[in-house]
Amino acid sequence: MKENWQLRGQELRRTIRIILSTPAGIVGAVIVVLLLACVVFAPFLAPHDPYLVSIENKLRPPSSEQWLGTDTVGRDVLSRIIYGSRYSLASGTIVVGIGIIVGSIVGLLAAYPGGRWGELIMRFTDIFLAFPTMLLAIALASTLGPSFLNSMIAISIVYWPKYARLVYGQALSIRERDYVKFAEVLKEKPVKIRMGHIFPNCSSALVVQATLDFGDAILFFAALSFVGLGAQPPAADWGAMLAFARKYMMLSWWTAVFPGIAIFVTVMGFNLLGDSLRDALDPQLRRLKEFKPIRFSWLGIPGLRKAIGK
Amino acid sequence: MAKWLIRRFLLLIFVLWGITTLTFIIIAAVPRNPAIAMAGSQSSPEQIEKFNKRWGLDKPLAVRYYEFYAYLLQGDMGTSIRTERPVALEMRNFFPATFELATVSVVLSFLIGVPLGIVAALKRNKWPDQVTRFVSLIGVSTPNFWFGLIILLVFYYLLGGVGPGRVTSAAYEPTRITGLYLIDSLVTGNWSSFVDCLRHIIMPAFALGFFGIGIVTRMMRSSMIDTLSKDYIKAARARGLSLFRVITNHALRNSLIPVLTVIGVLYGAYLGGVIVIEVVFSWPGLGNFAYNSILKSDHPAIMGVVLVISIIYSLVNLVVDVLYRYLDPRIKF
Repeated sequence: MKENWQLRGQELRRTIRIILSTPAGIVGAVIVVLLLACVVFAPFLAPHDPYLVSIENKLRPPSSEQWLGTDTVGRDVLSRIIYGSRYSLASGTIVVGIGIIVGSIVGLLAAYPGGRWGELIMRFTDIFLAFPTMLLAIALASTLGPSFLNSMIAISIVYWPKYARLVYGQALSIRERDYVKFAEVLKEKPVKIRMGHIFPNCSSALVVQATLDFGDAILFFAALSFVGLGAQPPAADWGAMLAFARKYMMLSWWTAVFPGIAIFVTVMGFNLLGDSLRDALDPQLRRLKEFKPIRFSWLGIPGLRKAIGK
Repeated sequence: MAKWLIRRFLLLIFVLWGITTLTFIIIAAVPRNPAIAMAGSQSSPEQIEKFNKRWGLDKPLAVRYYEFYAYLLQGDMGTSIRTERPVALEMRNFFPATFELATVSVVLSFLIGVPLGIVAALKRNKWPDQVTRFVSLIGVSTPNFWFGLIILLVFYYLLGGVGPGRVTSAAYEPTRITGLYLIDSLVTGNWSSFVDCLRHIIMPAFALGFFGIGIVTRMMRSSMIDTLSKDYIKAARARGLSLFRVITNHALRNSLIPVLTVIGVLYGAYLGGVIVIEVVFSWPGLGNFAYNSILKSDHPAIMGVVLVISIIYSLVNLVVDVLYRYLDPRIKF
């Protein structure tokens, strides 16, 4: 057991090293770490109270006192952006988390032991996939009623089928492996086979997909907030700030520009990190990467690297 | 071919049935009554009861479900609670504007993405390739509604260009034939109207289509690299044809085939994303109609929009599939 953890630690360090070996990976990691810092230390980083209304200070342009200016009711834009990181990270975590949980359960149930019911379940999830996702999310959120929680439910309902497809596809090939057949011979329960043998082997694909989707989910949530279906005023949320800024845009460009930049940078950070993570975890690509200095990658012979030695 | 088409068509009907049922279930499952949204929270129980009776909300679910399809098959999508007009009529009014915007966005993504992709493929791993990689990263990371706001801010408020909406004033509206202003104005020879419509559609179309430019570029790049490594390209080059001729005459057509499948993906993304863009640019299309219906919990109207957009989305995908098989005869049916 102890060796198992040691191995995992090694694997993790290796992954991190590969991510940090490219400029894209470094930029992505830095952005995500900065975002996490904003989320955790918001009260210390924010120079002002993000909810403090002061009408006499309204629509002040950026100055040395308030770096990003103030909005229509005199709230500090920078502080609101720093606090807004909490909504964004929460939206990404909740949506991707629910997507992984529900999608994995459905995908595993459909793939193992498989058969006609499994097919039927996947046909059903295909309906969700055959639908413009943004439209479905907006329709869902609007019928549920505008609130942060409902927007999370709406986006999650749109998201889980993607993970169900992913897990289903992975599980279909994993269930044919010898160790699964072996477990069957030992008469292990299907639940144990799904969770103990199949699921752990889907996890690296899930991690990559989740990181790539994180930015996407944040964009989704911002769009819902923008049309008034996400976080509700006076919440310090980037999408909601933009919805508010829209009406006064010609008077105060700073209220419209900076929250958008915050969304953009965050989403880009997760996209960069996701791309590097995919490179790091994809065995084929990993081999290519490590071969780079010796330029033998095109040979594509598995195990050659070990033979040559580090 | 015929067999494949029939199977594809049956699948389409199944998907549409699924989508409508799903929408129906969601709307029915939510205990939010449109009566309160419409009549106000102070309305008396009698008023709500009267409202429910008028719109058939007091009937059992199964009956409502049956009636929904029974009317739908006759082309009747119900009546909008907000505007009190038939939803089918509203769809006919608003749909062309949305379809025009989404189509111009797709065209724009291709017009910009394909040349960029070719350049990136030719200058592989050099700076033009890195630039296009960066542009596509920006494209998928930018919130389109924010990009729309910035475009409006710069080109309308700062530079004094054309404003939001489809035309400057009603005087520029072309005679309605298809409802697609660009086509209507061309057909009727109304040149000033065409220019005005074009100037108005460019901004929202670019805001909507920016996302796709990067995707088309990357697809075109990888497909072009793939094609350029083929023997017939090397043979053409060996015969002394210039690189330009080889690309236009040999490589372009073949490498465009895989890129065409992106059209379906882009239409899906644009028809969904069009709602926020239409709100930003006050574009009088389905998105704005949906937005206003959402605010009033106008269920028949929301159902109508969902249905129309998903039908269009499915049909576009069907057409792309057929086109794909037509362009690449190697694909078996």
